[in-house]
Amino acid sequence: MAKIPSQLLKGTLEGALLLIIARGETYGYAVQTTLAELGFGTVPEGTIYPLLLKMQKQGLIAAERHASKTGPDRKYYHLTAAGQTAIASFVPRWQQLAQAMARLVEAKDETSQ
Amino acid sequence: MKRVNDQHLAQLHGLDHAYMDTLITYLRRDWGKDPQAIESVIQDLLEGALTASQSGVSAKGYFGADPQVAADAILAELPRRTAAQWRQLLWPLANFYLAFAFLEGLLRQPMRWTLGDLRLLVIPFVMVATTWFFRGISFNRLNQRTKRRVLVGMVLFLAIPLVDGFVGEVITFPSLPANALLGVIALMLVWDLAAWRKRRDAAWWVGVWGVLAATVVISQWSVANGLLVLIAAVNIGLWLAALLVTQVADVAV
Repeated sequence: MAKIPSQLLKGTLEGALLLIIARGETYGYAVQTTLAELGFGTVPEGTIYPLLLKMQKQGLIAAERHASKTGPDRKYYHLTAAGQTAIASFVPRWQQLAQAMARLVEAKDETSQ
Repeated sequence: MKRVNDQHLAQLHGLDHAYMDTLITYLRRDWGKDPQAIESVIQDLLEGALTASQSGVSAKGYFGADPQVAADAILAELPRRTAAQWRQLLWPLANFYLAFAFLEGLLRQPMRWTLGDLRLLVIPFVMVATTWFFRGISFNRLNQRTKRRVLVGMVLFLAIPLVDGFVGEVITFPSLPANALLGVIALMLVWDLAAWRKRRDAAWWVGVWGVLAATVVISQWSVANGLLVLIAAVNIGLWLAALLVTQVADVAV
């Protein structure tokens, strides 16, 4: 699978993170592996972590520390009510963008045939 | 929290350790940010790096190929250092350099102090600023921002002592009367006594200022007796420190 350029990911990654956290309480490294499993490619923690901090500051997600077997206490993120509102606003916008892009790609394919 | 984070860092080895160590040093050297928030971030990143390492992923694979850009993005989200945290950083340095300045005056022939002695207080600020300007030079790839910052740091590092030396040569600072000096010492004593409740090391500074005050008072009558008090205090201090070290070594064994 080709690597998605970070510039292309920039605007959508925050929405993707919110949707992953909305599935249930999760932690940093698990978010990173989930993104890879979903096909976003390897998104480094250096890209994900500042966004998680920003969303915490905005009150979209909240975090709690629990003991971890691997070493330091692990921070688990969960969605807040403001985060749910942000998802409700992000999803229709993303669908509109995806449909518009799909129509463009479809039109290009028809022209080239 | 810093000590615990360092213990967790020690669990990483080789290139992973070097990578995270450089990143952590860079984050900690941003004096302008809340140190507790920085340690909390370091805890998160170490937890992730250790989990990744157990899954066979390197620290670079986990955090990314350009750690400085990511670290800057993280630091941008952190709160600023509070006034109390600035005091905590500069307090021991201010104590040390002010005590040193007064000690220097005691040893002058004839014994005198000037307002110019307070110039030594600039040193801690230069030290803090210099390490801030030079942070980021440990990264393998130096970005333009780091290069510019290092350049400014080097100019300041050379210019400040030159300006300080020039000021010392050109300006004749007025002498500080012994009463004014005792006033400053009393102020430092009160400040350190107030800090004693929160910081144990404040007791040491209370002792230093107490000895300095006694030395200055006694030196008014007899310089030799004043210096005698100082030498006796230094000897007792060294003896107490040796006793403490021996006791700590015994406990460790």
